[in-house]
Amino acid sequence: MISIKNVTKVYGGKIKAVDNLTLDLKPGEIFGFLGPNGAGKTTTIKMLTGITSPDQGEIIVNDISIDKDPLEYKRQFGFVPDSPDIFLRLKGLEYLNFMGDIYNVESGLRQDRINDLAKRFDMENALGDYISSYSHGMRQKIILMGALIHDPSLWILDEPMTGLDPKSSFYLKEMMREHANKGNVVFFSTHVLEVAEKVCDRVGIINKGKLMFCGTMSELRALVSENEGLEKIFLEMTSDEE
Amino acid sequence: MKSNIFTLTKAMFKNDETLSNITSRSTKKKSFFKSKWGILLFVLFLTVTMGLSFGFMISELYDAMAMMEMQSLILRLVVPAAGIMVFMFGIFYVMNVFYFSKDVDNYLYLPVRAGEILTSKFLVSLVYEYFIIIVFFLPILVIYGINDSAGVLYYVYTVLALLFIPVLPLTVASVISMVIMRFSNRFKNRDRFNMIAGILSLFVALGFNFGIQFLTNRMSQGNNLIISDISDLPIFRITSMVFPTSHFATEALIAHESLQGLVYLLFLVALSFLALGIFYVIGNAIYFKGVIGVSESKADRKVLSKEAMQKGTTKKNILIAYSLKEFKLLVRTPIYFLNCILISLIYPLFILFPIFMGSSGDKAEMEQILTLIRSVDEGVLIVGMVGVGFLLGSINIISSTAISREGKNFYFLKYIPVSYATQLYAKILSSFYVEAMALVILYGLMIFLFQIDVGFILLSLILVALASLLVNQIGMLFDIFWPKLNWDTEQKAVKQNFNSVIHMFLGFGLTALSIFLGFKLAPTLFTGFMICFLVLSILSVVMHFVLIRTAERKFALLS
Repeated sequence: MISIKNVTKVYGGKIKAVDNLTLDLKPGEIFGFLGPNGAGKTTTIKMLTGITSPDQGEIIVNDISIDKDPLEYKRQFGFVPDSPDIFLRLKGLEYLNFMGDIYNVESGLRQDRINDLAKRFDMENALGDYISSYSHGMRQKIILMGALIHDPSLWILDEPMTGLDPKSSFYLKEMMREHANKGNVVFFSTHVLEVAEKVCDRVGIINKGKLMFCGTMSELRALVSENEGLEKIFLEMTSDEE
Repeated sequence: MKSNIFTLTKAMFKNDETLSNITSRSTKKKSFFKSKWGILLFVLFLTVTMGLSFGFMISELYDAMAMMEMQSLILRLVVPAAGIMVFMFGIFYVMNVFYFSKDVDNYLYLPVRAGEILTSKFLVSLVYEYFIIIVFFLPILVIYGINDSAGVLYYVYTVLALLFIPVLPLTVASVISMVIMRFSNRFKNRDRFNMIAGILSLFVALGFNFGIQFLTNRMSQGNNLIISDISDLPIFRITSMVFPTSHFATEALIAHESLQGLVYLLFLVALSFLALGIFYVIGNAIYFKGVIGVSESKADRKVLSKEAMQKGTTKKNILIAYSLKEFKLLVRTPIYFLNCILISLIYPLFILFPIFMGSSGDKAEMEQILTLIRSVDEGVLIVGMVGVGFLLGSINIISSTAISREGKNFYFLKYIPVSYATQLYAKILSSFYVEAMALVILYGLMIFLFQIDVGFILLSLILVALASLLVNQIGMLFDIFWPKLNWDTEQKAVKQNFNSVIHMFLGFGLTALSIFLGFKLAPTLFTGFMICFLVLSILSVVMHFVLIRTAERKFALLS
């Protein structure tokens, strides 16, 4: 479903933000992308979404290459960036409807989806207000709703839990599971190990652009000897020493 | 207590946007213009420039007035004018410093008294006022003093007067603002206030402009007593009533050599301190209650009705939807509204005003111009209309800032499944909406003044649209080449954007060129139209390919 093949991104001719990354995501899985700040998570997501292009390697989603058919490629996913401060001077509903137009969603369908998402995220009474009046968590939620309005098969979420209240965070995790169970893929980045532990089928741990580990949670746990915690192994993998 | 106020004032200064907007261009580098000496030098430079530009005028005025021994009228005019200016800027500063800078929350939990916060805020506003006073009025008073060969005492009085003149008007402005903010929710919205203030100040500037024209007109008609006329204007009489300190300062300066002058000066100081006291008492009582609830925008938090939901979710063509999104952001962001929309609507007013409000001399002149234009062939006029298209497409700076305005959210353009071509033309379309409004005014005027016919309107509209398309493509190209994406306030995206300046001048140049070519070639209506149509179409098509290729190349490098 998603295939990232030998992808490298170099900034400024020297720094390898992502170094020969290869990942294959299968239908039906929630994949957690873990790593400390500056590890290369956001760069990977930027390449995955077409915001930046890789210097080497190839990315294919649903058999579509971004180089060959960029627009069809971009229709495959819904993307939630890490900063929700965008379109602050639009009203919530205006933003959602704009996204509906961008992704060419039929009027009736979009209304149903908006109603459904608004109910789940407790946003029904905020749709008529400007996004600038929203709290951080509400902004996060409206961006999420906009990303899901065309019901994409692939979800790409950059630090989606940051700023969400417990209830919304719970629903998001539930929706991620539901979505994956339908045979879709959820790809999300986080630096919080507990979040990954609870919801992910598989995790990838990245540090300094290199993939240090990729496998299921139980495989990761197998690496942990009895008196060590998961956190310890995570810290070891992402430590500065070579 | 004293040291607290000083520390607070310093902290507020460092956090305030107003100053950094004026002096600094980059946010990252610590530029010279952000340093203490840089600002000092900047103010000094402005003061000297103003002094030089006012110098001759004041000197001449002094000589003319001195012949009638009426030179003191200059002071009677200038000092109250300073009071009015302080008051008008005061409202603006107070609203921004007291209410919209949003930093009050950060001071409330500090172990300082509420009054100290308030006093510091007042001091910040007062320092801003001193900038204005020094730049505009210090040069005038010094030049007056030189002409008057006044002694040292005059300059001492000048310094004291300038120190105290702003106090009362600013306290009045503060108290008015505080009362409004305490008891009305209407102005608690920063966007709305800035929008209203921006529009008002534009009209004040316009009024001022025409006022000066009117006065110079009367002056040139040999009415020398104009100065006494002005100081007799109601606004000055009201000022000396509302701000008696201005009156005291004037009298103190005029009579600085006598005891009477000293008494006036003491009155000025005493009254200023009294005003401060009253401000402190009122402020303590109502300021904090007014700060609560100040926001960027209002929120109802109401569930939308079924009809509203239905209406809000209609499907639109992506080009239209995108352009409407652009247009909404332009209308709703005060700084964009003023610079991109209002500006292009205000220009037709510049033509209208002299026609309807001008003096008889103006009218005759205007009548001459009109008959001249009426006698021009339609062929020439239609080539001139191409110039109108160039002008309208460049003056609203929408396309020349279209990419810059995206700022840090530029990445949005890249991940949505919409081609760059569609996105760029949607942005150009949003410029067309604004131009259409200006065109309605313009064509209305033309029909009224020159009785143009329907055929001409249709043909010229095609050319206006093509010319405007071309000039918008060029503006967009500028902004794709040199986008200014790294800004923290919207002001920097449009006001400190060099692309729009170059583009505007290019637009003026093309306009002049079209008018020149129209007169030079003097074609018939048909040939004029055909030539323009072909040339503009070919150029537009070429520009289209350049634009799309450049966008793809440049956008790949940005993320």
